[in-house]
Amino acid sequence: METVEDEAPDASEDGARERFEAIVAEVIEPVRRFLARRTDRDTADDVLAETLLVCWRRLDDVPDQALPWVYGVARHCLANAERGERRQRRLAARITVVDPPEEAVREPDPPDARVSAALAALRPDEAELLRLWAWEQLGPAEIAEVLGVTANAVSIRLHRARGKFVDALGKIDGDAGHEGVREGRET
Amino acid sequence: MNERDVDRDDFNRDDELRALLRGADPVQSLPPADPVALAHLLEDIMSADLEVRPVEPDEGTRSAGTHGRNRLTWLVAAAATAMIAGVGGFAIAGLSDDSPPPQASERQTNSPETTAGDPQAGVTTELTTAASKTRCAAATPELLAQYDQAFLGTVTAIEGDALTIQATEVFNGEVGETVEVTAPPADMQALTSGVDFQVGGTYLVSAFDGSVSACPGFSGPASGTTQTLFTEAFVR
Repeated sequence: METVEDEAPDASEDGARERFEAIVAEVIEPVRRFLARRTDRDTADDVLAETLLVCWRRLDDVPDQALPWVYGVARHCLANAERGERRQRRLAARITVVDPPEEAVREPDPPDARVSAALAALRPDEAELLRLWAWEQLGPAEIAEVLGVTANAVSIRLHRARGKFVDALGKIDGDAGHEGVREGRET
Repeated sequence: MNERDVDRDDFNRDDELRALLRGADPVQSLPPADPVALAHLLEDIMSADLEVRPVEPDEGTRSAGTHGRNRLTWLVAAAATAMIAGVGGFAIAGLSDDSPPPQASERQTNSPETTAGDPQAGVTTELTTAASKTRCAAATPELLAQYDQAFLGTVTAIEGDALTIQATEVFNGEVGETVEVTAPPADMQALTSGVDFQVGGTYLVSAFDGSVSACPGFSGPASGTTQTLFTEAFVR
């Protein structure tokens, strides 16, 4: 009786690896951007590795449209990573960015400070909704999957967040007497 | 630009607003991940599951059961899925609302087969180990929280291919008062040397699919890093 199965990957294992690799190919760059937008580089690397590990371990749970689900995992892993003190334990493998120094690539144009300020003026959850919507370019149903809430709730909150954002921006513009994006508006 | 009535501002139009927000995106372009590093990472992840790969049945006499093990040799979709079913929406469930995601303990205590607290009186839990054929994944609370069994106990005997632990506190899974770990000599030696089990010592121990981990952080003396990990994975 041969029981050397340890050495012989069976077909389903190959299938799992294949599927995992396909999912990773699809989500890796969006998820890296997602993390780069929200945390420092080392943490982003750690959380990315952890996120992928969760995907691998829960491969059967990953839906066909994987990205929102994976964002949800990444969001959760990031929250865990940021809670409590930073860990020195780093997963051994790192994803390093090819050559150019970080600053050069991260901010080709300085981000719009007014918009950043307006976002910062919102409640964190509202700002996050807007980020998911504008930066990750997700629709309400996808955001709902990321956050684990209903699409309907997302639509309502998103609408409200947009309104608040516009108000906040208006306030900032008003305070600064700034023109910029107000061109086209009769004052 | 203002072809429609706008009640607040020009930006009320979603597209414009979205474009405006994108102007504040700090990562408008990010060079792609280094493919070599990525390949390594993926390989590490997929092989990390060797860490919890089940061994052959501990009593080699288990009748004709060995064939069924074939599927279990890849933990991911088999064992992990079954286990995860209990853990529930690990990531997703924790994300509802704006409250911070729950810690592992909350997920785990929802799981029906979880009995955190005292070990089961008069019960002996039999475990094995695959320590000698294991590659260790870096320990994180998230990973550890997925282990079926986690407990605190005192080693009462180490004899040949058997290790006996008196469990005193259970963090996850069903664990009897007495835990007996039996394994082939090579695995037992890898386990006792990996964890540095000593009779009389108190240890934090985790097991996945009936197999005790000998990896740093997953099993070890009840202090330092291991303690921190267990606390983060199961207690808070």
